Amino acid sequence: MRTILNRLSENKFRVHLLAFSIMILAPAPLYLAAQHQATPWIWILVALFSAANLLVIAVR
Amino acid sequence: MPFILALTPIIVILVLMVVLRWGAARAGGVGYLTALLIAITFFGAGPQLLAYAHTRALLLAVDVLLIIWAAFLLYRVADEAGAIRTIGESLPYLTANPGMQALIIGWVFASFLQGVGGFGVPVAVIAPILVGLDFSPLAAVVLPSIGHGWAVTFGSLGSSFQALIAATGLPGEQLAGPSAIFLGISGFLVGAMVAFFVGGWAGLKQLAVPVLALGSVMSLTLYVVATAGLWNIASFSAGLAGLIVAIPLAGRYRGEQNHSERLDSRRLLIALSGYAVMMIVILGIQMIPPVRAWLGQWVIQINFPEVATLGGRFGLAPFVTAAGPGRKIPILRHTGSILAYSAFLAYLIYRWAGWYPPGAPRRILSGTVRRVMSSSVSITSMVTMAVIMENAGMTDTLARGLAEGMGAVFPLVAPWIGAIGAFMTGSNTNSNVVFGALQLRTAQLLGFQVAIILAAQTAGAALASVMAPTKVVVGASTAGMAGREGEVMRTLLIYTGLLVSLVSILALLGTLLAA
Repeated sequence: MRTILNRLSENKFRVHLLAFSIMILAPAPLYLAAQHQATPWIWILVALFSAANLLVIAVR
Repeated sequence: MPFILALTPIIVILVLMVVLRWGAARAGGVGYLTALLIAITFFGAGPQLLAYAHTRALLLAVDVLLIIWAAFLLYRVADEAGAIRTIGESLPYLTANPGMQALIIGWVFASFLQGVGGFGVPVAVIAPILVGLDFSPLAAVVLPSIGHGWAVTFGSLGSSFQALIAATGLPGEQLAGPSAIFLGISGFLVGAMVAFFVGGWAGLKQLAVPVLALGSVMSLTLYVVATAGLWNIASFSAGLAGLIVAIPLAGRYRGEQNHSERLDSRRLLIALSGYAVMMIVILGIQMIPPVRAWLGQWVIQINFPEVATLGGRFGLAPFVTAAGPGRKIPILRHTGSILAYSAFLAYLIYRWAGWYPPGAPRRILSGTVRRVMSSSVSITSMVTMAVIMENAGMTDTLARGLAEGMGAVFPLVAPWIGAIGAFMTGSNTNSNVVFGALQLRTAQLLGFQVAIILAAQTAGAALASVMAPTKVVVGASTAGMAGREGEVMRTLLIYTGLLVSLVSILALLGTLLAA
C-alpha cells in the first residue's frame, strides 16, 4: 500500500493530469445518462469522478 | 443538525488545509467526497440531480480555468523572455529613497504584477528585488504581500471576479462597482501601511503625498475600468497607471543614487510591449462591435431541466433548482481566449527582439501546464462540491442558519467569511467559488443588497488571500526566510486584520446607505 502511495506521489503531475482528465470528461456522458434516465450509468460515472478525487487525495 | 451537516464539507476543507497543512487539491477532493455523501445520504440528492450538478460544475470550472490557463501562459511568455526581470530591475533607478522604493516596488509594481500574473507571482518576483535593495528579508516578504492584496479580485486578468460571477450567476456589471469601491478604498490603506512599515509614523507623514496621489490614481483607474466592463484588466490598468504616475513623482524623492550604469529605456519598452499588446487586443475586441460579434458567434451553452431533492431526513422539504441554461461560454471571445491571442502576439514580439534562448516554446508550454495542473484539479473539485451543495439545498440550509444567527450584523461578518475562505483555500478565486452562492442566498434572505455583500465577500477574500499558508511559504522561500513563515504570518495578520475590518465597516455603511 505504502509503495503504491509513494509511486503515486512520485508521479504527482501525471496523477493530477489523469484525475483532471476524468473530471472534465465525465460530465458529458453524465449529462447524456441523465437525459436518458440511465441511472446505473450515472452512479458508475459519479463513482469514476469520485475515484479521480481519491487519486488526488492519495498524492502527497 | 442540517446546518452542521451542510457546514461539514467546508469545515473539512478548513481543517485539512489550515490544521493539517494539506494542499488545495487534496483538501478539495475530500471536500467534494464529503459533500457528495452528505448530499446523497441526508439531503436526498438523487442520480439525476447529481448528474446535472456535475455538468453545471464543469461549465463553471471551465469558465474560470480558461482565464487561469491563459493568464499564466502570458506570464510565462513574458517571464521566459526576461521581461518581468527587466521591468523589476528598472524600477530602483527611479528613486533611492527606501520609503518611495517600497511604495513603487512593494505596492504599485506588486499591484501591476497581480494584474497580469497573480498566483503568488508578486511576492516571488519582488521579494528578491527588495532584498537586493537592502530591505530586511521580513520587509521583503511583507511589503509586496500587503501591497498586492487590494488588486487580487481584478488581478490575474479577472479570474477571481469571473469566479464570483460564475458562482452567483449575477452579471459582472452589477458586482463590479461595489467591489471596485471597497478594494479602491482599501488600496489607500494598503499604501499607507507600506509607508508605515518602512518608516513608522514619520515615514508615513513624509510619504503622505505620494500615498494619496498613487492611491487616488490607482483606485480611480480600478473603478473606471471595472465599471466599464473591462474587469479583466482593471487591476492591470490600475497598476500601470500607478507606474506611469510614479515616474515623475519619484523625482521628488530621489535620495542618493548609487547606480553605476544608465537605465536601458529601449529594453524596458520592449519588456512592456508584451503587455501593451494585451491591452490593445482586449480593447480592440471590446470596442469594435463587428469583431466582438464575429468572435461571439461560437457559444457553448447547455440547457438544464428542473431538478429537486427527494426531501431527505430531518423533515426537510424538497429543494428545487429551476430549469434554465447553464453558464454561457463564448469560446472565441472568452477572456481566456483573448489572453491566449495576446500571449501569442507577445511571444512574437519577444522573439522578434531575440529575447528567447533555444527551446523556449517548449519550456513556456510545459511550464504552464505543470504550474496550472494542481490548481485546475482543486478548482474543479471545489466548484463541483459547491454546485452539489447548492443543488442539494445545503447552501440554502447554511444561508438560512446564518441569516437567523447573524441578522442585522451580517454585513460585518460577510468579509470575514470571504477572508476565511481565502485563507483556507489559498485563493480569492476558490473562496468566491465556495462561498459566493452562500453569501448571495444569505443576503437575499436578510434583504441586504446582494452586490454589496458579494463585494464584501470578494474584497475580504482578496485582502486575506495574501496570508494563505501556501503564498507565505512561497514568499518566505524567495526572500531566504524559509522556516520563519510564522514570523511573516504574525506580521501579516495585524495588517490583514485591519484591512478586512475596514471592509466590514464599508459593507455595513453600504447596506445602511442602500436601505
